[in-house]
Amino acid sequence: MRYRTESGGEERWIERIPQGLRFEDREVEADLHWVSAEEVTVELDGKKVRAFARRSDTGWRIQIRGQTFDVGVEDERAVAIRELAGEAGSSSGSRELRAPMPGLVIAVLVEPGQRVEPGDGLVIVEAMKMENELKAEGAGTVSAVSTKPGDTVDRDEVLISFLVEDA
Amino acid sequence: MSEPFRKVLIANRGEIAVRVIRACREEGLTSVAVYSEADRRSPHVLHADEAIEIGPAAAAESYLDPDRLLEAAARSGAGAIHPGYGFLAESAAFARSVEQAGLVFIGPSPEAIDAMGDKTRARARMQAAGVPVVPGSEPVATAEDATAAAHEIGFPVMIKAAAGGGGKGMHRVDNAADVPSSFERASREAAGAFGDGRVYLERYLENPRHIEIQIVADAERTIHLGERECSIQRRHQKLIEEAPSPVVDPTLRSRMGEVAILAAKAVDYRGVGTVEFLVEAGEFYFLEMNTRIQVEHPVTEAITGVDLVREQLRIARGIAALDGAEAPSPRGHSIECRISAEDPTRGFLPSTGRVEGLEIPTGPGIRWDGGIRTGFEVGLHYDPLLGKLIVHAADRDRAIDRMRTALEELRIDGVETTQAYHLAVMSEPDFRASELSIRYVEEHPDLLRNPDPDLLETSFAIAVLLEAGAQRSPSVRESASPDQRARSVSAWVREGQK
Repeated sequence: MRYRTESGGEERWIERIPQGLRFEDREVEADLHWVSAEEVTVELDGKKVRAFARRSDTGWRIQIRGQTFDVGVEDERAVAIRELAGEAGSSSGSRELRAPMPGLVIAVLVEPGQRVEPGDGLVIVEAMKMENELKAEGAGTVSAVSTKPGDTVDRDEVLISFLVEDA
Repeated sequence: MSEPFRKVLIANRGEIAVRVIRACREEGLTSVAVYSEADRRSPHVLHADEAIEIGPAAAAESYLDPDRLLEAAARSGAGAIHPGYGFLAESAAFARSVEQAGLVFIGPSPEAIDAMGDKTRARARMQAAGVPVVPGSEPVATAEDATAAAHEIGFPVMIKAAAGGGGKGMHRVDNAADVPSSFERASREAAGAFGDGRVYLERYLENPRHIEIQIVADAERTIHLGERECSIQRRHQKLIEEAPSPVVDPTLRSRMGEVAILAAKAVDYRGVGTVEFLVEAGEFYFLEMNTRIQVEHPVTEAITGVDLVREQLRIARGIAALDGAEAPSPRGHSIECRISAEDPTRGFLPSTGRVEGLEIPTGPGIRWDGGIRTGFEVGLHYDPLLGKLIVHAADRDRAIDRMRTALEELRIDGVETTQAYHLAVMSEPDFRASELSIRYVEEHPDLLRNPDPDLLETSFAIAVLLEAGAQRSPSVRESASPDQRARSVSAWVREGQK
């Protein structure tokens, strides 16, 4: 079976073969053992690596030598099905500002109908005693404001909705 | 000699509370922890000899409420209060009410806190004492006054909270048009963080290093224990500190030390404290004095062998600073990395969650001062500092190598942390060459853009091995903890459960 792996914008197709793994340009002898519920020991061409692994929404979250990699994994069938179904386009004319972290809304700097340019301040959210000004990433018109000063917001909660002309 | 106190209440939480509890135990004193509802099972509560609940999670109703703290002290029979850092550590009013309650405040006098706490008055006082300061203004009342002061000083300027510290209410302004909005924001942040919205302006130095001098003082002597370099900061919050500073030679050290002693003596300082300076082109300017133990105190402890928190307790008990000895000569090099619940890949935004896995590095010259444990909930109520990793080695290069190894072994799972950022800094050429300034973080924005390519390939390989293994034998998935399984349910199920 072949797998598509992805992390931080990098993509690799890797095949699981009996003795290990086949990358696009090479084969590697590979062996993996679970040490505990979340710790694995891996040998890749004789080189040992200790890692921690847990499932994530899209694949596996892997920690090696103090660094964390969120690796998306799909087998070739899943990739084929997804490509057949076609991915919905995301630039459909409306955009949203979502809270990047949980926090307390200190100020809302825009109102419905207002035009914003990239870099314009939209909302100030306070988290862990620091104020963070959330800015517009692109130009557009505010279509709705879904928060107000004093609100406690969760991460990914929609704060402001926009209409974007050039969608 | 009659004992002024036998029992100490620690008016704080997290790693510093644990640190103070340990020092109390070594000093033969009984420790009393206080905790909010959110901290019932936090390490400082588990470590202490006694623990008293003081209120809800919100700091204003628990760790920041002087009445509840004094009530807890009375209930426990504590004879002294150690404030740690942050919270009420630099509140002269709190120190005063502790003394009025007949207890010992482990720190300087309320007058010294007052004198240094108001940054503009401190500046004036330091100038009068002959301590060099960065050119700046008096507190400004309106945006118009701020603009006028800014023109007088010359752009760029810094707007700073008069009552402040720790980066809150501090803003750089490059031109007159931005003064009013920054003035408003700084005033609001200052009012929120310190209950005092006054701000003042200072000239903005382009490329200074942040270097500070550790002071220890009793009634007779004021001693300095050399410097710490804390140039690597983000929004005025320190990330990495080291001692000694790679750019301070013995001559500069003794000059800065003398000035720091002058500053401390000017306010009749007692206990441990830190005089902070900006250093640019061989010149140094007084920034502020922190009238408390600092987060980064362990690097000084490592190179001097002095237990600074125990010194605080001993000086408060009336014992001579350093037992009457001279300052020890520094040995080797020490580095501290602050491990915070912030996501460096997303602009250091705070991260919350439950600590699912925790592995602390050990070995020669490695120290961990932490306030978390497995199962610990990292919430939004308190400072994001989870713990500090400190190393000590013969010289700076070896200390960096040791820190890198320790960071590779540290594992905190369940919440995003600054760990990988620190790892990247340890290999970055400017850091290795000690080419530092307080702009280091903004001048190196790509530290996390390019992860180690070998580790990335390895993680791809592991992910495929795991995925293939999981499909072949479901027992691997079964071995995951119930909590992990809960995370892999589909978004539909999650939505349905709401």
